Amino acid sequence: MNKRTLEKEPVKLRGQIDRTTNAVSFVGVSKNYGEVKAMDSLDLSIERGETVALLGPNGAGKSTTISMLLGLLPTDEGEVRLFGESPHEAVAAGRVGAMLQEAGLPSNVKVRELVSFVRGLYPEPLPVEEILTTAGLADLADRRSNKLSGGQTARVRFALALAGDPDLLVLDEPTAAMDVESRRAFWKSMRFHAATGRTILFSTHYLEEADANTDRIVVVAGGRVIADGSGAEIKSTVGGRTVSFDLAGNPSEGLDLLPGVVSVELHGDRASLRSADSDATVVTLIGERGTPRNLEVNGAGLEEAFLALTTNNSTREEN
Amino acid sequence: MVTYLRLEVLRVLRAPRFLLLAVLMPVAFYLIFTSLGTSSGNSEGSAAALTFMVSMACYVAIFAAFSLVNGTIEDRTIGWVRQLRTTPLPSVQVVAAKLLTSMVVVLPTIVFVCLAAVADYGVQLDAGQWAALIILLWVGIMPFALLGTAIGYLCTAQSASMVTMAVVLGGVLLGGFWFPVSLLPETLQNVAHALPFNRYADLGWQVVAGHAPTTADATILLAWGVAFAALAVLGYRRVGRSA
Repeated sequence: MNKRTLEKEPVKLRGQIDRTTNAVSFVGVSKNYGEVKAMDSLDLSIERGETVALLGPNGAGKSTTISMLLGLLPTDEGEVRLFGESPHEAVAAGRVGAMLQEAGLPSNVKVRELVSFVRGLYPEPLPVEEILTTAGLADLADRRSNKLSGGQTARVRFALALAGDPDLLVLDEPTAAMDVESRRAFWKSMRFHAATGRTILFSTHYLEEADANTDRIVVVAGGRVIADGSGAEIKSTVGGRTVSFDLAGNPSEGLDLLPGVVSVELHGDRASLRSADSDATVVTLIGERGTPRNLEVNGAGLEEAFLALTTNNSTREEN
Repeated sequence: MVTYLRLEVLRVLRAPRFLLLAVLMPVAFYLIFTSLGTSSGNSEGSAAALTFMVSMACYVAIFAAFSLVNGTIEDRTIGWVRQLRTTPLPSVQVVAAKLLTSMVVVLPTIVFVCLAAVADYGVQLDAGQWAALIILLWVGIMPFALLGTAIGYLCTAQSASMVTMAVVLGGVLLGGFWFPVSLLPETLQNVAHALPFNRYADLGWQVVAGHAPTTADATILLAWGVAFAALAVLGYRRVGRSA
């Protein structure tokens, strides 16, 4: 291990740096694809029993992180440990269950057969019926894999991740292919699973989804962790909402002084204020200037949020 | 491993179109070649007919051994192999199960050619020879089945069919299936003897001539088998590296 990573740990890691007890530990992990830095000295540790969301735009390094976590991808530099073991050892010991993005199912196999097969590979699996019920597959148990809809396939993939009753569940954009109902059922069973002391790591590019289902969000962009905290903390860092309205010829001066406002952008006659407290911003705005035309309040776009975080991050680096 | 083998065999049995192609294609080849073979003078029950039967059995078996390549590539492309890699199933067992699945497909093709040779040419062997022949050709297919598995894990769909074609055609031409290796120039003869094709067919030729298979045949087949098994395991372990 090099000196640089040792120095960085206390600054960037949240929670204890203890490779024997942490469920997940990344220390100074880097990965390059040719010239492209997919991962740049990433540090991350997850304690046992935590539910953590890995949030980031496409190409931020979420899938790379998950591939390394599962031992599918070797690291160029640094070390990944799961429960104090190498990813390969942890996977071989049946401590990890994974739901991968866009993983198809083998053809000509019935749902029940597939679930039975996968659970049979783990030392202490859940009972077949329990897996099927939890994943909402009881009615589909005898259906062949190639006769399932996209949402149903996602539920089977979830069932396969759950089947071995693993200590660590890794879910790469689990709800991407699910309909609303499947999503609700999915998060319900996730909460149940988390309550039994299991560690869960899931990736998403929806801030709302991350915020609603976990109290710790790790934001990755450009292959590094740029923010780590609760949903509220993340939102306040980036300015939670956008308040936009028509200026209708009124001056834009002073808008940045409104309560909660983090930044002001003008697009022609339209002003967009990013605000950490949109309620206060709107109330004061109306109080001072009257009701503006075409007022809209939106959740901060994640793209903007990442932009803000990335910019903040690079500024901090220079200090 | 048994559970994985069961799953793979079940999938093969449930895909009638695949089975039809895997088993009937070689059979069709056999019928085409035998009609050519008869005209070039294989007389009833002759040694030539026995040699030809072995060549044909080897040829169709090799063909069948590669029939699972596309299925493996499909499993890989859709991400199922990557998912499998996140389970505790050891890579050696995955490859072993794939090997045995190929062998399940291969066996009926070998038996078919033997039955057809009895019907067409009245070839005669004693029961011990038949058993030895079928078992040796079945076990001897392992290096080819492992090569097919390796191709499935390492090649894209496009490159796989070219690699398979090149390997099978090249091997069969050099292997003495259609004309004896002794007709080749000396350098090529050496190459042919180092490759598994001629060695595989020679297992059968020795048996029908009333001899035991040679140590050289067994050694070279084993060496290729080990090499291809290693390649297949390596290939499996590389799946999922991209993305």
